[in-house]
Amino acid sequence: MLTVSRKSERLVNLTIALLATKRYLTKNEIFRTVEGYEGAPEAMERMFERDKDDLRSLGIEIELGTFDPIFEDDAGYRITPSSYQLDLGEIDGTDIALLSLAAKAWSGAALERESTSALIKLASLGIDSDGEALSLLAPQVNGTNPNFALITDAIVRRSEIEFEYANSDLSKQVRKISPYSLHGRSGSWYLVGLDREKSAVRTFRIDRIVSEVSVSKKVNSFEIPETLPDQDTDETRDLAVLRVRKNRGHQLRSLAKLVETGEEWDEITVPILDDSWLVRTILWHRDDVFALKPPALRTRVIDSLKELRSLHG
Amino acid sequence: MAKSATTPLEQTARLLDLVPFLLSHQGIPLTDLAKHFNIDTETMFDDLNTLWMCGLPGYTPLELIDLAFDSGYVTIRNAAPLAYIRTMSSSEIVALALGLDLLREDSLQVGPEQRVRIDALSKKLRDQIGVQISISPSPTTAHRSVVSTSIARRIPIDLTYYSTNSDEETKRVVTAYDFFHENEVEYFQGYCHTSRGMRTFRVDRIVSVALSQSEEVVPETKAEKSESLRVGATVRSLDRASAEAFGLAFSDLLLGESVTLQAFSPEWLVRSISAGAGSLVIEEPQEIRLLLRQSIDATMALYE
Repeated sequence: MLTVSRKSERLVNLTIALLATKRYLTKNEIFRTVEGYEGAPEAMERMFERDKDDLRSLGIEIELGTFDPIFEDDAGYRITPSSYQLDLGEIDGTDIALLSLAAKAWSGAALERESTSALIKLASLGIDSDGEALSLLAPQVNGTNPNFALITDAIVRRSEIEFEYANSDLSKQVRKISPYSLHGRSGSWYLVGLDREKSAVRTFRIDRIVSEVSVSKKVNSFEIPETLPDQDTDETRDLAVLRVRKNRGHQLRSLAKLVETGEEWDEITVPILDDSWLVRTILWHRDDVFALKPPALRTRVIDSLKELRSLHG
Repeated sequence: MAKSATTPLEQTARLLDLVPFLLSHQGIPLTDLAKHFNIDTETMFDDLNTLWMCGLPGYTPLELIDLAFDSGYVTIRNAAPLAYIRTMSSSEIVALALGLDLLREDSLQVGPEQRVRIDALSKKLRDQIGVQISISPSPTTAHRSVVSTSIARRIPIDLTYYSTNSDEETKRVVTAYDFFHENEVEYFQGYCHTSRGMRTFRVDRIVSVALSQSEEVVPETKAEKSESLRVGATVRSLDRASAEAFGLAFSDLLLGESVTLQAFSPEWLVRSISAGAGSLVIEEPQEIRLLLRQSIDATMALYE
């Protein structure tokens, strides 16, 4: 069955009319000549306002201006080709090949749709891509999380976001964040942003966000600081002393600030970044790691072991 | 194929991008065109029918975009006002810039000359969005690239792998077969010549990897894939880390309810249950319960 969307037809016609015109078109001219505007004047006004917003969301800037400086009432609209048009400067077949590989990295991942449309634009340039460069294997982004695209978009537009986050005890908490950046690390994506309620920069793992991220419509709501405060300043942290069996405990050893080697055991000093994480990690290493100091840590590990034993007795 | 779901706004974006694409791809088969736009042919047919009614005000045949596609091949004329390639959206730029970041890290494939080009392209793109968007590629990228080369060219790899089962770094020679994802974690499967069997590796636990000079070949009868272990447990307290360790959805964990845990190694299972400090209690099988108890006793002995 043939389905023709009247709305997309009108939006395309509006774009063509505003792109082709050499002078500003007044609203009345638009309503009179562009196909798809019909009904009462107020209805057409509303339609036009919505259409402008829709085109803006596609990145198309409609310029408002006047062709007669004396009669400002006669303001009109147009789209300048220079603002509409893709401009990548001078670009050759090797560049096209590299950009195409970059786009293909998203195959099956979060920004697949965006990269498909980017590929189309690159292909439309009509530049043959360099075969040799194209024979490289495309990298692969690991991440299918649907919130990924929403967050990157919010970072670019500097819009505030809100989402439900699973705490370590799985309770959910609404977090209101000004998003600054995203990092991929060890197979997970992390969002860094200002927690507006805590007034502090925090890091969130994206797969722990349990709701759809809602992005505020308001843009440029905050500035992204040039340098983010270092959240991992070890200097002020408490230290733990652990005994680790030879050739074991690689994860903990990689954090060690001090290692004293012994025969069967090494003694390592690690900063306590997160109590619970440290207890878990010590328990995970079973009889290859044990806690010496501080006493509170040692007690917590022993209590957990007693609990485990009584539950599995 | 079912028609692709598409909003009027998505269709508008496609229609605007169709014109310059067709101008540089005159006579493209309709099916190929649909593939390029990642939609089915029926939706593409609708798109072309819509575009055919668009044009300059006046909308007589002189002003309308002229499309021919009845033959299954698509040509376009009279589309000059829309010939411009639309500027990239910020999300498209982010997608490309991030893809370039990943490509850049791929030292196995990308030479210094290409790296200079990648840097220049990346700067050009990032300047367009005017924001210092810092999305760093994961360090596993370079490792992944070596493994994909191994898969593509059937060359074994020298792999140093961190095994969480035994908390050890082991060196192996592996012929990689394919990648797969489970719970957002990327793995690859391959024949391990060192242990003479099929093994599964997590990409993010690769310590180092390089293409091997070894001439090992995979024997005809590959050892069977290791069997997975299923364990019944009760949820005693809600613990995010335990859910993540066992790949359970957060909503699957309900206080007092039972869950089935899956693991490939009893040792890993015992470690992960211990780390949860009682948030999950093993009910069955008894062998695993016993294994866990022995492990706890051995650890307790260190403190006594």
